[in-house]
Amino acid sequence: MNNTVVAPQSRVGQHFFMFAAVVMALQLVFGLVAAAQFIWPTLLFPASPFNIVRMLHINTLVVSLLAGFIGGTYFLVAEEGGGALHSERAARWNFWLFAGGIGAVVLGYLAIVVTGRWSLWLSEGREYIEAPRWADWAIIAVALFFLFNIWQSVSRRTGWNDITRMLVIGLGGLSFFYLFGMVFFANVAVDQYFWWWVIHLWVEGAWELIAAALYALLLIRLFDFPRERAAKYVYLEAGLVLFTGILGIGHHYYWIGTPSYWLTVGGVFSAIEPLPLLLMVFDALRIDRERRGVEHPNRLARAWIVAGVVLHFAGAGLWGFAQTLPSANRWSHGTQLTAAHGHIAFYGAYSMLIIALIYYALPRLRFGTDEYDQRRGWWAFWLMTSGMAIMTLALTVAGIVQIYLERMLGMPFPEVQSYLGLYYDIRLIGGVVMVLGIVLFLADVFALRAAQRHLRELKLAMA
Amino acid sequence: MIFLVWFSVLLLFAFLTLYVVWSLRADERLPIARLRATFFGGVIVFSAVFVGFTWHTLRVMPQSTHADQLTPAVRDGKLAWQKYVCIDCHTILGNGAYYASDLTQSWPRFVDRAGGDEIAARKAMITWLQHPPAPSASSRGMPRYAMSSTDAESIVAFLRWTSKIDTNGWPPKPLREPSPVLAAASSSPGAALFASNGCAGCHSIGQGRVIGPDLAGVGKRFDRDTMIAFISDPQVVYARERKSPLNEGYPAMPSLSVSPNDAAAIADYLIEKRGQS
Repeated sequence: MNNTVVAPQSRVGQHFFMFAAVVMALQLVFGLVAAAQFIWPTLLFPASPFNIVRMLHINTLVVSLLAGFIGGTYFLVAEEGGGALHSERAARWNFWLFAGGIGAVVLGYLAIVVTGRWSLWLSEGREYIEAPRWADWAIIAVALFFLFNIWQSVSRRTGWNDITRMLVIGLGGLSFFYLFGMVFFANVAVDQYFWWWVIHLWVEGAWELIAAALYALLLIRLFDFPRERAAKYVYLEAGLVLFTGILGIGHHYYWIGTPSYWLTVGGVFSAIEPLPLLLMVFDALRIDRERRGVEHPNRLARAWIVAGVVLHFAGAGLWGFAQTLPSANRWSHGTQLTAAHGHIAFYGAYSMLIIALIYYALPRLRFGTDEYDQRRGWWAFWLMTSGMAIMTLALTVAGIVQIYLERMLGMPFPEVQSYLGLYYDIRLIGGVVMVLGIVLFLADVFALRAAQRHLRELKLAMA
Repeated sequence: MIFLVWFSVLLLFAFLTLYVVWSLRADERLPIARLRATFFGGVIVFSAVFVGFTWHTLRVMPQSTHADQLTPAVRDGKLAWQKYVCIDCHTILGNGAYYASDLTQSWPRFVDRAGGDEIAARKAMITWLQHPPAPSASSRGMPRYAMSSTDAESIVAFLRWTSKIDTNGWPPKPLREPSPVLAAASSSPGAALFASNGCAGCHSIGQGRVIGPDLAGVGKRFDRDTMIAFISDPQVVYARERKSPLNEGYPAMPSLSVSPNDAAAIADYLIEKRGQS
């Protein structure tokens, strides 16, 4: 039976999961502050201007996803290998180096706030990869150390198979493409050309491979999905994602000083990018229906997975497609519509997967069983997901109005923004709802409640 | 390159057909070795095509971006642009944070507002960067950068150079062309000072709101002395009136250290301008 609980001897996954959850909560708090600054521009001024808050918001996004991927990898690789890693000690070191490095970078950002001095030693000022150059080298060193640990564990304990291989390829790609963000280009167009190698080839490349492998391992566990079929599913998904995604990078090369053939390449390839995501939805719903008979007590983790796949398609597939063709992107590029797409796509594709992983692993780590009290978790699920839906819809309407007024009628940016207040208010409400949800999620991460049945048994035993 | 474009598209559809057929077939009969080989083969082929495109793109980008005009000042400007984390409010080439305006075409905007006078536009932009507007209750502003004049000058060089990149026609021309904010530089000394102090970066005269209020008819709302005091140092007037900004819904005006004489000339220009419009 695939879903028997393996006694987890390795605890390092839990460290990373807690770290990911805390950073994700911080991400939402920074997001809330940034959303509030849209409405009250003097909030926290001059101490903490919007760009610092926003930098923290998107960097905590990246860090929480990385911590989730690393934690998920350690946890599942250990579980596949009978519960332990090759070297738990090295993995612990990995955690403290990772957390320490991130802490140092954040201290640097805060130093800007405290001293009011701006410096390339504190922030490189390039979106998503603002960490300064010295931190880049530290990040690469920690990434190599992590890869080495996983390599050892897979080689010596877990064993190489189609899924573990795909996972390691994804993680290797993640580290490799980061290197292209570590070069200075005086030419801003060339800079953006290679900046997308990091961002796009992460989000629509390497990360998708990691996600596909982690999804597959969770499907095996939570739905008792046959291993052979899961491996095939990984190849089908990963293949479609990369075949459309590698040259799909062209949708970022329409307007940045690149030749015009990118309009054709980007248009054709990215138009087909939703296809694998749609297939994933069909597969997930089919598996969910087909395997409903397969009782698994962790219904909450299953819900996060299935809903994640659906929102992944909605965010990356539908919202992405809505603006990916050059004729549409010409008008929508650089507006709130892009922000709407970014929010729901990141949440659906990656944050929900990581939350699913955490909910899968937590009861096993805490209680050595798949049974736990899920009531708080369901509240977190609905609050976070509906908060994101509110936010996305509000930003979408703001984006459409902005496109009409600014791009089509040529109204100046500040005046256009003065008409978008209502949508930013609604977005803030969505943000508040999400923060309520993540508070409940954090409560579960730090103090997961045992299932009622277990408590009763415990009481009986004590009486 | 056309060949490579269509080759890659054909390749995509070949792989897609294969995958769709495989997905529809009962997957038990499909040997995994075939899937594995197709995956790795496909990744290698598409990566190779991507490398080909990249090789060509990097070869033509020096022309499309006028890299020969990329002076050391432009390079320093890009470093300053990064240092002040401009990208996490603004966008450039459409990428960034959407909290503040896209700066790809900021140079031509300033030139337009200075009536086509590039020297005045440059001065105005530097003034703007060194005295950015603070946010108000209902209007966004810039952080207090205390930017050195070297940094400000190099950022202007950077934005000027960036505005000349061939972006395949982005941002698109609006469907209705907005009327130019300042039609032509007038010959009066006040008009020249209005341009060179960067007033037009925020204000129009009779063409509607930009960042600050439209100044048409401002002479009717304030007396000449108040106007001179305000132009010399708005903070003095804000303190006196206990109101900042004076106009609800706009950011407070930065102090530009305009001498009283210059301020008087600008005030006269604004009063006289009302008579014309």
